[in-house]
Parts: sequence; structure tokens; C-alpha cells
Amino acid sequence: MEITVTVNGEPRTADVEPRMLLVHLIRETFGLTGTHIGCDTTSCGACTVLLDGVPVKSCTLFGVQADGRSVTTVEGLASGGELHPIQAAFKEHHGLQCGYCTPGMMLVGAALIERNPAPTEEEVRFAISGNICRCTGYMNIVKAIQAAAAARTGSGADESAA
Amino acid sequence: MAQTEEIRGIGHRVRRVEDDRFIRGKGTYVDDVKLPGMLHMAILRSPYAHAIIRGIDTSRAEAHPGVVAVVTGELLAQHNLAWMPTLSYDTQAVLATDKVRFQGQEVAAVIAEDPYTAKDALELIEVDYEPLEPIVTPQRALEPDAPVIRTDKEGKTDNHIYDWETGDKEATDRAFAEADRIVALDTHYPRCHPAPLETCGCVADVNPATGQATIWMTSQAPHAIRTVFALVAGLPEEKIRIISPDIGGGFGNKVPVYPGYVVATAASLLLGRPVKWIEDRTENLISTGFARDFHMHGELALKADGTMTGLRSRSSPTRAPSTPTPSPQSSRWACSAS
Repeated sequence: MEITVTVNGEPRTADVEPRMLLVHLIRETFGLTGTHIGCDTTSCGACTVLLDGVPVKSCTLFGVQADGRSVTTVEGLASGGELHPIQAAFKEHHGLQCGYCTPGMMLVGAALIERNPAPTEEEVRFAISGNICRCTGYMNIVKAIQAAAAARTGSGADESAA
Repeated sequence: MAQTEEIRGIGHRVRRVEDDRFIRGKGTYVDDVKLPGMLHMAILRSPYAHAIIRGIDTSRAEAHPGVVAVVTGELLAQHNLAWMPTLSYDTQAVLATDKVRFQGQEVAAVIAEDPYTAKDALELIEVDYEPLEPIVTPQRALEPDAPVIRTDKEGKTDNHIYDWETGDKEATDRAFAEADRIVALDTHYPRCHPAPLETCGCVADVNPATGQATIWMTSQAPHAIRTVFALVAGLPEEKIRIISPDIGGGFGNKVPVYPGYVVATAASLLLGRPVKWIEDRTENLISTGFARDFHMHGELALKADGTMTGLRSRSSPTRAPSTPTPSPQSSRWACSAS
């Protein structure tokens, strides 16, 4: 069936099988391979994208469920050459190693600081509790998300970046 | 000339070259590799840990629209590819022929125009299994009446693989003989799976004109893999190129040569088109290298004041039916002991 999805601000149309998963629509049909597949079972969060601004696991939604809605992937975080604060913070605070969980972690983080401009460590850890990182442990991911929040509000609370 | 920060050793900040790609979603992991004309492979795995294969009927799968080929051990055997050497001087089935030796073992593979079709067709393959007694502990493996797993090894009458010892036996025995106190512990160091966030997989591209094989693979050991591929295919190593692109974690899980790589490459060779195989998480957990799973007995020799003078341990690790490559710890199922 034919669907139209706004992907990173641009309307995209595709003719898809009703059973096609959203993650495959994004990766295979739209060619945006920054969204990864880790577990196929909603457990790991590597496939996280924002659906109308809310983090969802795209391996557990059908592509057709995104019809008429807006999807943001990691490729849509930066605007022009300018990194999103969450991207700059992940880079600055070494919030990644192999990079596989990173898009999901950053999108969850971006959505969190959008609705909570100054999350506590506990709030950050709760927000990323559906996302698994197998390389680093979560210390620097938490640090990066808090630093991004601080950078975004210009609160100057980003001491660890100094 | 650009000024560099003073290098302070440990704790000095290092800019990683790969981060700019990763934070923009511009990494290239193996599933991101897409070649013109590429086919997709899915693997049928054994639900039994130990069973004779009486027959495999692939006709319905082959007739399914979008299916290009169904590969079985029998087909591979015709090309002398059903078994492969391991880097531990053993052999390992690529696709099972006579029987399956662990749960999740590769039995057949479907090559199709798209991954959904490949998975659909797996359900159309009928395998006639005759279940045999499985072995699930190393203790059972060594009992005299235990079924023999490696019947493919000529003259093999038990499940014992190897004994290995290290240390100074005489000095240790003396420490224990002179000890004021000896404490002992039986324990199980449980199995764990490395479970990298990116599962295993490859894109195999054998060029029908030149015979050159290029395989993109989530491998931590591309050079060792090239050696095994050369041995399996009987090709010189310069005909084989293994490309490890960005790797979504490995932790040892991506060292061995898994049958999926070989089947995908054989399929590409036979069909003259690139073949992609990406494992799902269930496959990764049941069929790829795990770690630990040691049944251990430890003894400590002590003086009255608590000074430790000797340590002795014996362990029976659960091992693969095929000695894996090249890490002796991460292995595929089943049992033996020392």
C-alpha cells in the first residue's frame, strides 16, 4: 500500500507491504542506514527513531503505522553543517565506542532534553533504560546527555566539558 | 603548523577519527553494504540438539516466488564444501549432512530476492529428523554410555576432546602436603554470551569473471578468516579479500568462522551474484561463540596464619562439538572435559 511519511522534514512516499517493519522502511526503502537493528524484539533500542517527536523502537512498528506522521532519524539531528547539541556532547564526552547504539541513545537523549531541559542523572538513566550499550557502560552516555541539556539551555552547568 | 596540545599520557583527551561519522549516522556496518544484484540469505536451524537427518524436502521452498536457490549440506557436499577446517585442527559442518550436533545448527539456507521472502521460504522446508539423546552437561558427556556426538570422526568412541595441564605439579603437591589447612570449592562459572549489539553477518561477492571473492564481514579476525576461506575453497589467499567495515561490537563473538559466511560465499559462487546474510538476535544467541561455562573444582593450601601456599584447580569446560577457531574459550555448544 502507498504511504507518505515525513522523514527528517521531507515528505517521502513509498509503496510497501503492510507487514514491512518501520526499521526496514527507513533503512531499505528510504536508504537511511543510520538507524540500526540490534535485537528484533524491542529490547535493545538500537532502532530507536522519533515518531512525531516521541522515541519509538522502529523494529516493533510497521511502516504503514507511520503513514501521515513524522519520523526523525539520526540523519535528521544536525541542521545543515551544525551538529545538534546531543551530537556535539556525545563526541565531546566520548559517549560512544562502536557507534551501533549511538543513534538510538542520541535520539532518546534529544527527546528527553526537549521536554526536560535539566534532567537529573536518575532521569537520564530512566530515559535510556530501554537502550542497551554493550561497549562503554553508561557513564559517558549519561554525562553527554546532561551536558547537551546544559549546552542547549546555556545554563553553563556543563562543568565536565571544561 | 598547527599547535598540538601537550601530551599528558593517561587521561589525555584523544579525538577519535570515527566519531564524526557515527554521530551523524554515517557509519558503514555490514548490513549497510548494498551491492547491485544482491540476494538475501536466511538459514534454517535445527530445533534438536542431536538428531539424525533422514531427509530434507526443499521442493516447496524452491517453488516459492522470489526464491532463487535452496542450499543443503548435500548440495555443498557435491562441491566438497559441506565440511570446513577450523583453525584448531578440527573440522566443522557448514550445513549438516548426516546429523545435527547442537541445537541451532545450520541445516539449510534459502537465497531469495529479498530478506522477507528468504525467511518465508524457511517455513516451507521440511526436514525429517530422528531425535537422539542430547548431551547437556560435561559430566554426562564423559559417562561410558553417553551417545557419541562426533560420529563423523573415524574411530571416535567417546566425547573426550583433550586434556590440558599447566603448573608445577611437584611443588603444588608439596604445598598441599605441608598445608595446615586446605579449603575446597566446587563451582560453576556460568556461560555468558558476548552479544554484541550488531549480530554477525556478511555480504559475499564472488566475481564470476575473475573468481575474486570479496566478503564484507563483521569480523574481528579478517586475516584468520581469509586463511580458512582459502583452505575451504582451495583458492590462493590473494583471490580472497575480507573487509571488516565498522563493527557494532565484537567481544570475541566475531572471531570464529561461522557456517553462514561460508554458505553465503558458496551461494555467491554458485549463483554469480552477491549474497547478504544477516543473523537475527535469536540466531546470534543460540549458534555463535559463547564464553565460560566451566564446572570447576578449586583447592587452596593455607598456613595456620592464612598465608596461601598453593592453588590447584580442575575444570570441565563445556565445549563445542567442533573445536572452534581460534579462541578455545568461545565455542559452539556440547561437551567434553578435562
